[in-house]
Amino acid sequence: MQVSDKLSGLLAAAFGIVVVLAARAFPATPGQEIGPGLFPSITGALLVVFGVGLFVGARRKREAGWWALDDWVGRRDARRSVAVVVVALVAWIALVTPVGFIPTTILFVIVLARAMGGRITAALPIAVVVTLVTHYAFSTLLRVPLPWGILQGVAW
Amino acid sequence: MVGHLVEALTLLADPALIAVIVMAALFGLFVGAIPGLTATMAVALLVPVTFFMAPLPAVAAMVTVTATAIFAGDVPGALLRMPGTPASAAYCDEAFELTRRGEAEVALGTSVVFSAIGGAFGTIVLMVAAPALAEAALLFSSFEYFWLVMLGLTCAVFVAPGNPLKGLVSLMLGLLIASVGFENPAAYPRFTFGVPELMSGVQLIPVMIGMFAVSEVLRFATTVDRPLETAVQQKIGPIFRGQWRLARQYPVQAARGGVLGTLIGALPGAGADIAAWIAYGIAKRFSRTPGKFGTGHVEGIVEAGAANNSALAGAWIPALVFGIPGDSITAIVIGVLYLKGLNPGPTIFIENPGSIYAVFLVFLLANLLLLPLGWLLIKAARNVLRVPRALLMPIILVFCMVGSFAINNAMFDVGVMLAFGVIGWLMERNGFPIAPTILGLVLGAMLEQNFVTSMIKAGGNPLAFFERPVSAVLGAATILIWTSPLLRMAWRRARPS
Amino acid sequence: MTLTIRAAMLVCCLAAAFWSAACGGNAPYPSRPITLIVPWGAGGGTDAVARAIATALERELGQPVNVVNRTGGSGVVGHQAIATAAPDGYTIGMITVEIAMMHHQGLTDLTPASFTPLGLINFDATGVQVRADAPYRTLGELMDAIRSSPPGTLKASGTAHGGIWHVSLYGLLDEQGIDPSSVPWVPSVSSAAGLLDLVAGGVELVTASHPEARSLIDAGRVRSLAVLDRERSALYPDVPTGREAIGTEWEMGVWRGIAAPPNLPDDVRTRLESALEAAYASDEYREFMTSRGFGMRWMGPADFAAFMAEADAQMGAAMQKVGLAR
Repeated sequence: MQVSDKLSGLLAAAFGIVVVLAARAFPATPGQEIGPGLFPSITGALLVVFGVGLFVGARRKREAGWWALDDWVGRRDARRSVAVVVVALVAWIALVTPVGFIPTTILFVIVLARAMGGRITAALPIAVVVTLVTHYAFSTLLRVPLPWGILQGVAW
Repeated sequence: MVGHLVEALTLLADPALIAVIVMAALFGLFVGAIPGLTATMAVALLVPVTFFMAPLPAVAAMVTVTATAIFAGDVPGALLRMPGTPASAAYCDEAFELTRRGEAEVALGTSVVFSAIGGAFGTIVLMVAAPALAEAALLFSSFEYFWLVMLGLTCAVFVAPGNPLKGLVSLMLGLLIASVGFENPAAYPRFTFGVPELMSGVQLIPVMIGMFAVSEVLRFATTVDRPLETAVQQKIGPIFRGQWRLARQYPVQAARGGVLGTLIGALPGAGADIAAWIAYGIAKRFSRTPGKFGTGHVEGIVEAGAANNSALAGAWIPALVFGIPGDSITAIVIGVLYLKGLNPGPTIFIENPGSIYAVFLVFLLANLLLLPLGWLLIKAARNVLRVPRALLMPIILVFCMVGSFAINNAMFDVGVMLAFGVIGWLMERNGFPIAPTILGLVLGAMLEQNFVTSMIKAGGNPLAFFERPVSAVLGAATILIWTSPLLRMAWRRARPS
Repeated sequence: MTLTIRAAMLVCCLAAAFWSAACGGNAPYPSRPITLIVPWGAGGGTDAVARAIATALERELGQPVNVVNRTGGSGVVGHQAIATAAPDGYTIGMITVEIAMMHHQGLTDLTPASFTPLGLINFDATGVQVRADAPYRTLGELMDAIRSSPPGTLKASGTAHGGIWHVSLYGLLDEQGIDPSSVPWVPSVSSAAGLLDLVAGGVELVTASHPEARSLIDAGRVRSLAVLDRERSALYPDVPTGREAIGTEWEMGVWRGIAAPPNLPDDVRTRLESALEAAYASDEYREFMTSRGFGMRWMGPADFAAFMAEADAQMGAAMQKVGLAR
């Protein structure tokens, strides 16, 4: 999605205002003159200044329109691939702890490779090899505790 | 000193020691090349191994791992736009642009050669001037660090191409992300929304991987003719060709990067990350062709690549002389030094000269080893580009996810990676550069910490920021850089009359 | 797409088959690697102690003991991960003094009682440090200087706002009848940063443990005036205790211990307790702690539990009194 500089400037300024309001609600620190709200307040205020500057500059240049959709939004395959990337990542995060790193990741790679136009005959072996190599490198060599999930009983 | 060097050389001529160094170099390259695994983590993993080693091999292994890991972070940055370590994020886009243009060998060759040069330069400074520089580093209190961070942030404006206002909005976003969490001077949990994982703030590595690599995957998902598209070249030419010419073309940049990196690295509150950003900003500021920056121009890589490796050596200066960690890596190293009876302190050069000079020689050796081993890594890494893109993208994502997880062993950080992948993708689509956000996140906590503690010490008097000599100089320099465009404009207006 | 689903099902079936085949055996504890959670980052003092005790435990238990850093929220996230892990003995963790502090600040519901204590393995008391060229030679002179100068003249640092060294100093000042707010606390990210600021002239005194201040004391830049403990530290036996210097009863310090989630099975617990005691007594661990200058102190599970309850009460009272509790 393409947002005009007018709109993004306004959004930045609005976000800055929200931050300043939230930061002003922070309590003072006992025994200290400077509370936790000062730094976010300054940053938020500067965000308002720069956002408004962006808006004014865009107005002066007579920027047309507020926002426009990208070309790819009109293409079904592109829409699907973007959705698959996001959904597959969310699913991986949700499933990896109960199900385990190895099965979840094999599935993840296969689904994504298919969505991006890869062949299943190539995706399946690659998925298995990549998953096992990653698992060996991180879990065994680097001692990162990747979850075993349903494979807990055969953990090596 | 010559006598000590001879003694050190005999210590070094041990085949077992050389074997340890080569093994450590390979380990460092492996860890550094994986995004999300930092040089700090590589060194921490080595600690239990060093329990069973003699002092010199133990320290040599750590020295070698750090030097090689920082370089290796450049490789996935250049080839896939996934910076392996925060220190390579400064010039990641520049190197990736070169790869896109089909000049990956230039990007990687420059990176390996000037990393080695910078590292060797820093080591020589360490050997010659460590005690004096350590003394100077002790002059830095929160006032001086405040101005140093301001200088670093100023670089964001130079680094960012396009509309400077968009760069500033992006920088403010980074500073705000940095203010999330409990670890602020007032120890008050800010913007945590009751999520315990956010108490420690938003982690840099998942944000960095998300904004650079995941946004790249998303962009790929939207391109036309995907399966056949090869945005990157498939081959890498001779890596070292043309490097001699570059060294003659940019001697000032290489030297400046080396000096800057060593000095910033020697400050206990700053490290290789900041050094790389400032060096890149300075390279652009003083370049004859600043317009070429961001389009695949090696000048910035020369300077920043030299700076981040020399900063590693610089960080050892306060560590050896005062036992003060220059960065998270030397914090671990100091522990090992004590463990091995090489207690850091001003007397270490008198009590253990042979071992210390042997450590310095290992530094030099590790930086020289970078050339052949770096060459091997680049040759091996180019195979990555042969994998069809449809298969490569999921593999990249797997590495991103595991790397984000490994920082804290928390799935939450994988979610952070995804969120910032989408944010980075939208920002870039609309002309907001992401580098300032990363810089803001790197420096935000340091900026607030030094600002607030300075204000507490000064009792709220802003003039205190100019009272100490070093801070007055740094402050004046920062303000001059900010106002120089205005002054130049005033000068131009005044002249025609 | 159907092919994808079929492949996925195949993988799942294979996994399930493996799982059921492997769950038959009933090996004695421990039959697989153990995870030791550390609530602090790689490279710090807590991490170093954890890696040393893990190496010694590995030898006692005959299984790898993997150190896993779960940083975040000034220790909240890691402590939470230890307390909520499955109580099967395969996840244990290092708990630190912060567990007796954080709940008074309203940062977590966890208290020392949220764990099965296995043993205390380290204690380092508060040291009071000043610059080597400072005019005060003893703790008594320093206290007099604070009393006689206008509030705000002397500033202190050593940890974050509300951190252990902050509470310890303010508790001492309060006990000495001095208004704590007359010594402003300059928060620092670590004790090393605080000590550096002391040398650079930013603050006048730093409370931190002796191992933390060691390198700058040895370099002749910093002087330790006293240690707030019942006995002198092994690292600097010349430095008097607080009681010897000014007769104060105030004692406080950092400590580290090993704990497991609650409801640990008895056989697993006894196995871990004896392994930990042996690991603590190993030459390896002793050598590591002595060379790093960390204080050796051992307490078994019962003593450790009582010690933590006492520390929790002391912290709560002190933080309430000086306004650090929320």
